[in-house]
Amino acid sequence: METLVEVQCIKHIYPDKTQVALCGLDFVVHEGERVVVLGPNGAGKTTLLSHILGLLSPVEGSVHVMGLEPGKNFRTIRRNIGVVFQNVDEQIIGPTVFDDIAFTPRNERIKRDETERRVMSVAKMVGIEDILEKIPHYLSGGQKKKVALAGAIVMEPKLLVLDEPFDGLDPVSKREMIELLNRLNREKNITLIITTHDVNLVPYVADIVYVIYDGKIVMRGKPYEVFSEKEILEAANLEPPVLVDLFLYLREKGLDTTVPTTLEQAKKQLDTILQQKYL
Amino acid sequence: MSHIHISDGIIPPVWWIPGYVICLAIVFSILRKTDLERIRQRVPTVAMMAAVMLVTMSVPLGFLPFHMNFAALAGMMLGPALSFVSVFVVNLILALLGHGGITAVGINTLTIGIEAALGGALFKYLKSKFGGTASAAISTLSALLLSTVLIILFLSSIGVVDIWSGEGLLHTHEEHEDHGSGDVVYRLGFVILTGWGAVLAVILAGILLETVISVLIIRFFMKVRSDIVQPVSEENRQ
Amino acid sequence: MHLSAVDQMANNGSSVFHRAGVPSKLLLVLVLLVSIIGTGHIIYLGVLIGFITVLLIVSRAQLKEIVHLLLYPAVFSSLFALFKLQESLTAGIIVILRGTGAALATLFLLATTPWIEIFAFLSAYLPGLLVDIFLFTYRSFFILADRLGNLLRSIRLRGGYHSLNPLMNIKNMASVVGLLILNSFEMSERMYKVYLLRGYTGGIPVTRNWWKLTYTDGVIIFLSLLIVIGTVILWRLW
Repeated sequence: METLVEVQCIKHIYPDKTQVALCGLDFVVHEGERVVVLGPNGAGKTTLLSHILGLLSPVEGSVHVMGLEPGKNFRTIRRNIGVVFQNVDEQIIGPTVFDDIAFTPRNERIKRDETERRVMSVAKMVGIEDILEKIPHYLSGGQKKKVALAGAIVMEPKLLVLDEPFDGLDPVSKREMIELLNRLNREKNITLIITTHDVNLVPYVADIVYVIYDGKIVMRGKPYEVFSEKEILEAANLEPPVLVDLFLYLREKGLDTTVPTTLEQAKKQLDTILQQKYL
Repeated sequence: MSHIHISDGIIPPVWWIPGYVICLAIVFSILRKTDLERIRQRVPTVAMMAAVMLVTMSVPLGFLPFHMNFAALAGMMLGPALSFVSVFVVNLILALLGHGGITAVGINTLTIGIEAALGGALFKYLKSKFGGTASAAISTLSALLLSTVLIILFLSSIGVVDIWSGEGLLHTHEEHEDHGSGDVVYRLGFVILTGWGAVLAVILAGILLETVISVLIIRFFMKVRSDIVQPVSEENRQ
Repeated sequence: MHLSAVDQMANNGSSVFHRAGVPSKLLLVLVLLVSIIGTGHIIYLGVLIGFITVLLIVSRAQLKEIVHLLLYPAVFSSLFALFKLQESLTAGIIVILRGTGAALATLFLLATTPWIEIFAFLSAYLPGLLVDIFLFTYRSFFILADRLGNLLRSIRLRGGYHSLNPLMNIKNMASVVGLLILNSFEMSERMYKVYLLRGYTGGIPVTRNWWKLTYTDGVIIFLSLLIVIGTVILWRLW
């Protein structure tokens, strides 16, 4: 599997002289993976993403995206990356939803018919084909997120970076977003890097989880592996998902059970336990 | 000084047409300069400052009959040229909303744009000599005074104000009386106005207020984001 | 915020004028402005203002908001009208009618045409960067207006605003404005980076669909012609 992103112990100094460093484990993302970066507020998640996107350049350490340094090859890198920021108001540019989704193709001088085809295709995929003529600032938060996502995937990027994409969404919208992201990964082989602090959603949208705390990448692994390390999670000011926490507790109390990470797995596990108990 | 609320039909064409032509010529030439990349970089900031100027006009100060325009502050943040463009955008939008006539846009942009440009240029020149706070005070005050003088000269030129006698637009020959103090008092019905004394007092109060607020804001930036008012070189900007 | 209210009217309306194309409406408004500013005939001014009022009623604009916006030009043109009253009552009334009439014409345009469409039309004739600045200013205004609203609410809830305490208000409003400007600068920096990521190279491509003239456009153009003819006839007679 091709390595798409590699970040090794970076340090950056902001204009207000704040220094941030992100060291510990190396941050590596392979093609086709769904990677979630977990961490409390101020841990360094946005700093990590900004370096990957080439918006910041490290004063120490190294960042490589598709083999290139993003800060120095910004225009090349950005053609293969789509991004959805936490505050989507700041990235919606177009006067209408259609114009916003069409923004990048038009700037890349893609022909009008092809632009329209791409816009309609992603709008349908994301479920916003009925609001293409609307003005973005009158849309709801969830709709704006979808518009931003459509704009990010219209050029079929290799890598999609999302900063807190579930923030501010209601439960149904969160589920829709998760399904959409998984579909993009499955059907278009788009690699995902997602930052969030909503641990309960992670098992549904991650192949690999990184945990960042206080400027250090402290853990890397599959969701189950990461969430089983309760002490490390607590030290990083995180809690495991409710389900994991519950089943870890049950196991501590002597119940012979694996630890599920999703609701479906938990139901199956409970069915098995109940069958064993009553048979 | 805020922009002039001169309704349409007051300014003679011999003033407003050249006002528009000169204003547009300046704006176009600023935006067609060869260093387009640098201007393109500042487009969101220019627009944001224009939006700030539009939005802060509604910041309430209680019973005080002023609203700020922050053109001089825009000059300090954006520099002389781009602040002029920002002022044009604001004036046009305001005119379309009925704040000031559409024919006054050119003249308004020139006077307030000069205020912004002078504020920016003076600040840039003085800050290394006197520091941020003092430079901001001197620049804002000078810029506001200049634009006030320009506006008075303009109003005098179109016959709204008599600059020498101080007789203002509410003067009638039958209805004024002298007071012992030497100030000429004008009476129109139940409305009494004094001459230049009263008018200038009001204007100066507004100028001082905007100066104080602008200085407080610059001081705030010097503490938290000094790079905004003391830009670093382009290589390090991003 | 008036800009928000007018924007809502333009975007949410479905009258025949909302459906008309931008060029025909711009032509009508231009003709109206020239006629209003150029004519010295009080009855004709009254007719034009009545005509625009009918247009606003047909377009189902929020008349309360329009009247509120008209207060600015009405009040300021009244000040200048008092000067003209020395000549004659008619001269004074003409000043007021011109000021409010011109404002009414531009408000009709804004109440029936989203800013986006106006910018889209202008993008064919103005420098791309200038259109970008207008578009970004428009977007930024709404974001900042929300933020300002939140900040002012917080200040009021925390006892930081009192209509009779100007000193407190000045200090607190300076903080509000400073914070707003700081946030907006940082936001504009982030926005520029995002725009670069999305391929911005100057010039936001905007969908333009106005070139197909409809029956409504024909009616509007016809009305514009009638106004031109009426104005020319009056000029000749007067």
